[in-house]
Amino acid sequence: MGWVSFFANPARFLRLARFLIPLFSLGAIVAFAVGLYLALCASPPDYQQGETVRIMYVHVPAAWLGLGLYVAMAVAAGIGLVARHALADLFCAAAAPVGATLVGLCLATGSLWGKPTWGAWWVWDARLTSVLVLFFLYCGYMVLRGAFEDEAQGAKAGGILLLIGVVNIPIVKFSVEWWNTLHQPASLLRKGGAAIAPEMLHPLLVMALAYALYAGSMILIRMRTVLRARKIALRREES
Amino acid sequence: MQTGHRLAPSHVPFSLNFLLKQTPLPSTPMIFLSLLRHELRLQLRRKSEGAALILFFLILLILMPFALGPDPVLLARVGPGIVWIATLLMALLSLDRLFVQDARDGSLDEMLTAPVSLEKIVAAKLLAQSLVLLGALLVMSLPALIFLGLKPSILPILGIGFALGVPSLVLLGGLASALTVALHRSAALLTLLLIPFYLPVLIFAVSACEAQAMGAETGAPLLFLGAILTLLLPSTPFIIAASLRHNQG
Repeated sequence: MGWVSFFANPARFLRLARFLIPLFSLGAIVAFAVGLYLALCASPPDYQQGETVRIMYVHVPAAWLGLGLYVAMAVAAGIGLVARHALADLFCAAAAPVGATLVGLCLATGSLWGKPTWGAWWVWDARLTSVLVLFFLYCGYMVLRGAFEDEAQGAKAGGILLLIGVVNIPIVKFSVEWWNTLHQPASLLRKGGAAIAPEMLHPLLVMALAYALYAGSMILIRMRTVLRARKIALRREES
Repeated sequence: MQTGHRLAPSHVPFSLNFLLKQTPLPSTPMIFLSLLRHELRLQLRRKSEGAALILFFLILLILMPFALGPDPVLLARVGPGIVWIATLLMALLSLDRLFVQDARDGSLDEMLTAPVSLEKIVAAKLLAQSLVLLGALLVMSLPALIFLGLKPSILPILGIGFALGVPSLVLLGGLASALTVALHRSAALLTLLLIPFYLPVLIFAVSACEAQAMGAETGAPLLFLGAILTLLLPSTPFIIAASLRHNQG
């Protein structure tokens, strides 16, 4: 468990953040510029869906990151509960609004994409419903954690909720295979390799990188803000 | 301990005196049975609350024909869904009886310091709560049948659904209320936390009823309900006990 406690030092975290935040932010700007150009201008329209396929470049990375951040938060919550890691809960609290926004973006763009292709803004299929549940899990976590006056208590309760909510993650991932859904099945991580043309895959991957860098820099900034606020509060108490 | 302080009979704090009088301590199953009997007695003593829950269920059923129109064909089709929504809300409302009242009158502290493992006490409480809810539903199934014009042939499926689904609702509810027990006003929060977890139970319970109405195989959704329960049954008492301990600081 050495590596876990290595990052538990707030001073070490702040030194790392000072270096990583500009790196991630600049990286996100560059990746968004390249990714959006490739996605909106340089990539071909779909032979079936035409230009609407371009929603994919916004929709799919948001879904990936929304799902991935939840898993990361659950892992951090587990570490926080077991190892009493000083920064684990801070990460969860900082990542929750980012993850919720991404899942919300995924639902909104999915709805916009559903109207022209399926003819409905919303259908009650397994993938859509399970992602909606994921959104409520994020909201529930944020409300639960914020409801406690004592922050340590809120962290524990929220962490337990995050761990319980992990059951929803495989349901989101495999909902398109377990049930007959309107939502299309996975085309990237599937048996027999990716079923997507390279000229569409590359912009998608660049966009995913851009989202990841953006989320990373946002989370680091939010964590640093909380640490600084704590430091200010401590100084005030002293004086 | 306060002396000379008399408690209203409906709020007898949790006490293990009835167990500790016996030396040596009885065997585990005997302890569990005594705890269960104790919890059931406490539950049944809160008569007015229980009556309020049952009436709440009934009122939800009565409201539906006004909202949807009194068409008997429509009501018979959506009836099982209405019954299940009412069950879900009743289970949600009854959560106050699980740990919140215990925290208020100090029983929770007794439970935490009791010489019996907290997990056992929690399991007994959850089982008692499930049994009481199932009893209430048993009483209410006749008015539901009449008011919504359900076919009697749906009763067995509804009953099996209740038997498998209601304990799951109570176990999940116990989890959420253990997490929020330190907060005093948590009804809206509980709803937000629980609805995502209640969804699978609702989906499979209602789809079993629908399958029965269409003459299809009802086994699969009922097995899913059973699977949810078998997943929750061995794990939740431990998680609940852990979070109760954590919440006390």
